Amino acid sequence: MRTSKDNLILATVLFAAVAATVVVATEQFGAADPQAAGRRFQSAVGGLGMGPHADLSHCAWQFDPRVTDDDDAGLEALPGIHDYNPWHSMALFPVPSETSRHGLD
Amino acid sequence: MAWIEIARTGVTSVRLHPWRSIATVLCVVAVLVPYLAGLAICGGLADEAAQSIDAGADLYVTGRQFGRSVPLPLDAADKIAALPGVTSAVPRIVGRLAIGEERHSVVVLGMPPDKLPESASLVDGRWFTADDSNELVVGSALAAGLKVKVDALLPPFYQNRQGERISKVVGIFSHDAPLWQANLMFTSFKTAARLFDQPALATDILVRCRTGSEEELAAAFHRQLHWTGPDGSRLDVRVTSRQELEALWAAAAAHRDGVFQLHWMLALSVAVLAVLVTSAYGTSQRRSEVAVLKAIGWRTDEVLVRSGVEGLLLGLAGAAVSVLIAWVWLRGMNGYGIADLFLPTLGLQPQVRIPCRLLPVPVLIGALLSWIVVTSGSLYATWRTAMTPPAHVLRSSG
Repeated sequence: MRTSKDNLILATVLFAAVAATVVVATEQFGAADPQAAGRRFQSAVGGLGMGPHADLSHCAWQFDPRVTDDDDAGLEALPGIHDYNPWHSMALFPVPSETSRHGLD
Repeated sequence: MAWIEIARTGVTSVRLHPWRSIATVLCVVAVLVPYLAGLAICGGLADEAAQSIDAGADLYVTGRQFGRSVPLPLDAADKIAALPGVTSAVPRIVGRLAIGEERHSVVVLGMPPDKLPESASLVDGRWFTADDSNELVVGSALAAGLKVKVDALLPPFYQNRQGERISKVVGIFSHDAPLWQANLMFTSFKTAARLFDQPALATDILVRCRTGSEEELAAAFHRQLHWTGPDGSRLDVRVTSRQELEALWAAAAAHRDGVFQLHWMLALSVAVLAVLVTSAYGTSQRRSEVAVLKAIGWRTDEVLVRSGVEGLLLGLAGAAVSVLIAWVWLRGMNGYGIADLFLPTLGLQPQVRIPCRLLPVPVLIGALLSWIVVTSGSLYATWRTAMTPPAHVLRSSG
C-alpha cells in the first residue's frame, strides 16, 4: 500500500517533468509558422515595431525607436524618482533621454 | 541499495505531509510562474523585434530640426535614390490618428504597394490598391474595437482641405501577425497622405543599399541632404542604421535582464521565507519525526538524504507545474491578465497573439532555483534537528 502510493507520487512528478520538457522542446523547435508570419509582415511594412507597445498613444519610443528619437510621453513626478512614465512599468527599452536628463540635473 | 531505500523514504515523507507538500509546491509556483511567463513574453518579443530589424530597411532616413525627428519633403526619396550605392528608397508615412466614439488610437502606415507580397495570406481579405481610393487593411484589435469586418465602410474620420471620403476595409490582419499589427491601419502612401492632409511629406525614407556601404551612405546623407525654406529655416536628416537598431536591442536586453533579476531576487527571498515556514519551523511534528528516526538508529547523513530527496521532488514538481501553467496561460489563454504587465497597451484580454517563447535556459535556472528554495527551507532545519539529541527534541516538541 505504502509502496504503491509512493510510486504514484513519483510517477506523477516524473510525468509533470517530462510534460514540461516536451513543452519547452516544442517551443524551441515547433514555432516556425508564427515566425514566418512575422517575417512576411515585416517585409510588407518595411520593418515596423520593436518594443512592447502596440500603438503610439503612450510612448512612441516603446512602439518603435525608428518612429521617434525620444520618449515623447508625459512624465509624472514620483518620490525618489526625477520623472517617470507610468507606461514603462515593465517596458523593455531603456529611455534614451534618461541619461541626458540626469546629465543636465 | 540501502541508500535507494533511504531515498524512497523521501517520497514517503512527501506523502505523509500532504498539505505541507502542497503548500511548498504552491510557494514555488507563485514565484516561478510570473517569472517564466515574463521571460517567455520577452523572449517572444525579442524574436519578433529581430525579424523587424532583419526584414526592415538598411537605413531609415528622417528629417531633423531642433534635435527632434520631423518629416521630410517627398523629393528626398528621389534625391536619396540618385546617390551611388542606393538600390532603393521608399517613402513611408507612420502617424497616429484617433478613430471612433471611443477614440481608438490608430497607427497609420502608408507605403507604395509595389513592395507588398503577392500572397495576402497575412490578411483576411486582400491588400489595398495603389491609388488613393481609401482602401484600408486594419489590425485585428482595431477591427474588434471598431466592430468592423472585411468590406465594411468607415465614415470619414479625418479632416482634409480637399474634402473627406468614406474608407473601405479591404483586409484585416490575421491573428498570427506580430503584435504591432494590432492597431495598424495599413494603406497606400497616397491615402495616408490624405488622411493626414500632408500631400508632400514622408515621415521616413526606407533605404536599401549595397552590403557594406551603410556607413559611407549615412555620412553622404548627412553631408548632402539639406533643405532651406524660403524663411531661412533649415532641415537636416537623421539616419538610423540596422546596426544601430541591433545595438539598441542588445542594450534593451541587458536592461530587461537587470529588471527581471531584481524582481526575481525579491520574489526569491519571499519564497525562501514562505517555504521555511511551511516546511520546517512550522511543524513540530517534523522535528519529532527526525528525532524518532535518529532514536531508532538513522545517521545524520541518512536523514539529510531523506530530506534532500523530498526537497528535490517538491522542487521538481513546483518547477514542472510552473512551466505547464505558464505555457497554458500564455498559449492557451493568450496571456490573459499577465500580458498587460509586459505589453501595456494590449489590455487584459489581448486581441492579438502575444509574442512568447519559453526558452530552455530560464526554465533550467528556474528549476534549479526552485530546488534551492525548497531545500534551503528544509535542509538546514533538518540538520539542526538531527544534530540535537533526540530526547531533547522530543521533549521540546511536546
